[in-house]
Amino acid sequence: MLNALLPLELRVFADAFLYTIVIIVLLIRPSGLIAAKGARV
Amino acid sequence: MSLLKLDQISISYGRAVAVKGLDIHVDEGEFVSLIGHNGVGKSSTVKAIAGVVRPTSGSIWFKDRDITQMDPGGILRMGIAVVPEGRHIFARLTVRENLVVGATISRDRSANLKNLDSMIDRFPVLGKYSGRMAGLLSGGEQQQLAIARALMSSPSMLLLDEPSLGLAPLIVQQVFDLLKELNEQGVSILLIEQNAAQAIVASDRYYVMRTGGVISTEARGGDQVDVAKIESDYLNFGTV
Amino acid sequence: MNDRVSAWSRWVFLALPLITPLILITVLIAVTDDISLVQRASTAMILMVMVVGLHIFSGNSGVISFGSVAFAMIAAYTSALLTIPVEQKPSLFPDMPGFLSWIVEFSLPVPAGIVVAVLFTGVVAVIVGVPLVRLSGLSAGIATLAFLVVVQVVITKWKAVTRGESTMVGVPKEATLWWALFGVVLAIAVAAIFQVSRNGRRLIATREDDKAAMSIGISIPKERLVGWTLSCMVAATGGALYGHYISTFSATTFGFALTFFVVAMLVIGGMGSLTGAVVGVLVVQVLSEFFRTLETQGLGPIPIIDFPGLTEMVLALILLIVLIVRPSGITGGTEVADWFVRRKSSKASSS
Repeated sequence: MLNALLPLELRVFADAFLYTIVIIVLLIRPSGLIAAKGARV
Repeated sequence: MSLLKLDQISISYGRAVAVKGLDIHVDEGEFVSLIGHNGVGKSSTVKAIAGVVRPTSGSIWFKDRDITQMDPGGILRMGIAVVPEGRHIFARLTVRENLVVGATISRDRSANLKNLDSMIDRFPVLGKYSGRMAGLLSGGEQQQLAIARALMSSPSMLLLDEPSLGLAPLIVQQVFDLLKELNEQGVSILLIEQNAAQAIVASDRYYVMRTGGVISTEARGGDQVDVAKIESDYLNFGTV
Repeated sequence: MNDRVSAWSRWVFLALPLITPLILITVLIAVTDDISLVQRASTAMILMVMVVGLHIFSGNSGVISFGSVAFAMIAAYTSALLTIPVEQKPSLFPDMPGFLSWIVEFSLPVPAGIVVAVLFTGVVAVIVGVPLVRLSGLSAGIATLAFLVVVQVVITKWKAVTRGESTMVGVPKEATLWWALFGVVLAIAVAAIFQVSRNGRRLIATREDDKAAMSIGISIPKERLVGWTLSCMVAATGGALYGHYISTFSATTFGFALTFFVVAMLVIGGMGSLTGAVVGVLVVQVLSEFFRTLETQGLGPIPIIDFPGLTEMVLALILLIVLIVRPSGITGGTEVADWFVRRKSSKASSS
């Protein structure tokens, strides 16, 4: 899916983008995409 | 003119209300205690003053400035040093290093060194063990270290969260005597305590806090107070 | 110990008991002139530079990072690109993109190449560190591992600049046993200076108790970023040295296997102390050489154990045992220097 979104020249780096997204998710949603209710302190 | 003033402070965590409409103040040079049972919102109050938790409503004023939205670093720079609950010393740094990192906000090295010397004068036990890992000190010594470390930022006000926790009564007395001594030397003190009797005797004035952070009593403290009566009142508040 | 000793003597006190034996061992090995021994010692010491680098951040902050090898890799490639002889460059990099074409036109002496590579890696470390230092625990582990993968992918796929999956060749093979020794001494000195510095103490304070650290005005992200950047630059020094030592390498050289080794060495030795980083490398390296010898040639009366992957398995097993029996590593967070102090003070009290 990511492959389709990227311009042709950058397609070989798809995995790099994927893992960058992983890092960004960790940064902005530390408790996971779907945070457990009541887990916030 | 109050040094610290909490104006209608409310704190909630989601739907749980911890503190509701709290009004307290500490004047310049005063020693004030805020006593209450577990879970009445004392710790939330400390966190709000220290800037760790944002109140849901109300405002906090210090030296005539609104510090409600300030971050912990800014509040410390304003002159409020916090001794957190449970003796948070750095166990694997030496006593001396604990004190040195306490002066983080000040860049004036010679002033920091002077400050360090005066701490070691005031707390001889810290001088004696200055090269020792802080984790090896006894509970009372660790509490002294936590207080000394907070004083390294030269605060005008000291905010203590349950300094008596886990200490033997005799040691608690020593800690409170120390606070009184510091107070006489010009540091204003807000002491948050469960240990009502000793706190009341040590302080100029005290508040009793009830569930939801409502103040039920405000009275003068000191030696002449009838502690037995207060204690029975205090116990009753808890059962209401 | 007199606590009025100057900061200068405190870091020397910390580093000297580690540096002295390393120098002695290196001299002894150099004297024997046994090629395979010299090789093993050089590799071990270059690895030690990376492990000490990792210790600077993870040991003092208590936050694990699996990304240090990524920075070693960036530095190794950067230094290679800068130092490959100018006459070989056009044939090695025929498709160098325009904005990097200047690289093909000159080449630096190896020491200069390493310094520039380490500085460049430092800049990358700051950029990556600003967001990453906000994470701790499991998130930090996953994010740094993800960063390693990102660097791996970029280097294997960016053929025009990195030669992709083909190996880097033509890298000047100038690093020797003495270079490795110099690298280790430098790394240990930097780590010791950082550890006794104010920044280092503050970072340790955040490791010991984050709440208390915040209560006295320590900014956790700021202190972590300082340690992180220094840590990545030391790891980068190790990476660049490694590049110039083996002279042909590819992205897989700096992959999960090396990461596993580096992390295992630090954890086995003891993450909380500089001594642990040094001891960990020595113990793991000696053990792995032992098992590798068993695997390939047998040892004296012991026949060849024909079991590929034996070394890695034994290491993993040791790592597991250490984690269970002694989670703080062999040294348990103490320094050799502490040991001297304790002996001295116990003598003083008994007399």
